[in-house]
Amino acid sequence: MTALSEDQILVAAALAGDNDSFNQLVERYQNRAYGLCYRMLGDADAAADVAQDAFISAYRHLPSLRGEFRPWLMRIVANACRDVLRSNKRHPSVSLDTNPRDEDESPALQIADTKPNPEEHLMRAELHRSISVALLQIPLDQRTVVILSDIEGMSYDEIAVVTGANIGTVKSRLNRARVRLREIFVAAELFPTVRRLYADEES
Amino acid sequence: MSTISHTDMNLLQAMADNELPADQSAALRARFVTEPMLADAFSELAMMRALMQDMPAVRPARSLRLDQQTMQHARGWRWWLIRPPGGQFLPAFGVVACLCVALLFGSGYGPVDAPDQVLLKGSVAAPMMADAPLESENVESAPVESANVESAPVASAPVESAPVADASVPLIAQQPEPSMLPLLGVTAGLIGSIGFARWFMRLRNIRRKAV
Repeated sequence: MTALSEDQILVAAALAGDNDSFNQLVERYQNRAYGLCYRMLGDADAAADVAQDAFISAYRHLPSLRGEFRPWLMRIVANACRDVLRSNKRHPSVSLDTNPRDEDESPALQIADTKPNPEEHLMRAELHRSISVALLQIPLDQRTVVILSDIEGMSYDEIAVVTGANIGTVKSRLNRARVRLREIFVAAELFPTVRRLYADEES
Repeated sequence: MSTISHTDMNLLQAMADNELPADQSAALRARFVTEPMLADAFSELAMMRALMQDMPAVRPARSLRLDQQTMQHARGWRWWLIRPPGGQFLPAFGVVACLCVALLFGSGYGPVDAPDQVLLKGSVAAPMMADAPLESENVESAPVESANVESAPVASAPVESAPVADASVPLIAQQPEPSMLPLLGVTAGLIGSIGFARWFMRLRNIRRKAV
């Protein structure tokens, strides 16, 4: 008998009626789920609402869970974001720097506090904001894949489960997304800034 | 940038992801010397990837925990199957329901036969009933009659009183009326099965926890 992961134990306990176990799963994955929503939607309030709805949906369908909890949950979250974007018939191009928690507690700021150069911190924050805006300009399927891969750090296998596509399609979407992002960066003349940032870091 | 082919871009990205075999990676790097655009594209892709990996994790402004009321409302039909309302009584009810079904079928209230099967059963049974039971009845009654009237023929009376052709008619009438009891029994059995399934899943979860 193989040992079960902590997620599986919590899922089993939740299915047995222990609601607190499911809330432990929520706490464990809420940042990740919210992050995906936030990157995909570009709106902090909408992201929180969609992430909350995704957790409710996950709870409703918990008895049908087969396999790992995390990719299953992220699939629900990604589908919820896709549904919202499709129903709104819009792809927001608003700025992403309105999230108050970002300014207060984001790791970027925590990292910046330890660095002596405030200019570098500002440069990095501006580049991150540019990436977030650029992400909203690429097609939804490509955006989902590049967020899951390059920002959330998921493997190709996990992304395939989340998106419901095969690995070849995942790689293809990822390549096209990166090419498109690079084109946006070139058009916005951002690469000189990026080079300077990394040159400063190396020096 | 525009002169870089689609294939080369795929190779560059695979190299940035460390997914390119060593020999192909070395060959591509060798081309960087003669094709500086490739080198630029690779460094830009790598920097962009590094920037994205470096992006700050965002956190929701509020906790996304679900309260008890939301959970109650969120439960769908799958939840009802594994945790039905009042489910703590279902295992006991399942046992009682199974007993009811067993008693029901054991007492002859089984599924009602089709009319043609009833007729067939009746016509086959009629000669047998005309032979054995009626004779034995007369054998038992014979001493009583013989006590009163000695000259009375013992065998003649029962033959007249047992017409073979009419035997099927009272037999059809004796079949039980179509009843709701089998339906109730099956329903009870189904509910009992759900209770048993729930008990089984609970047991499995307990085992999982133990592991």
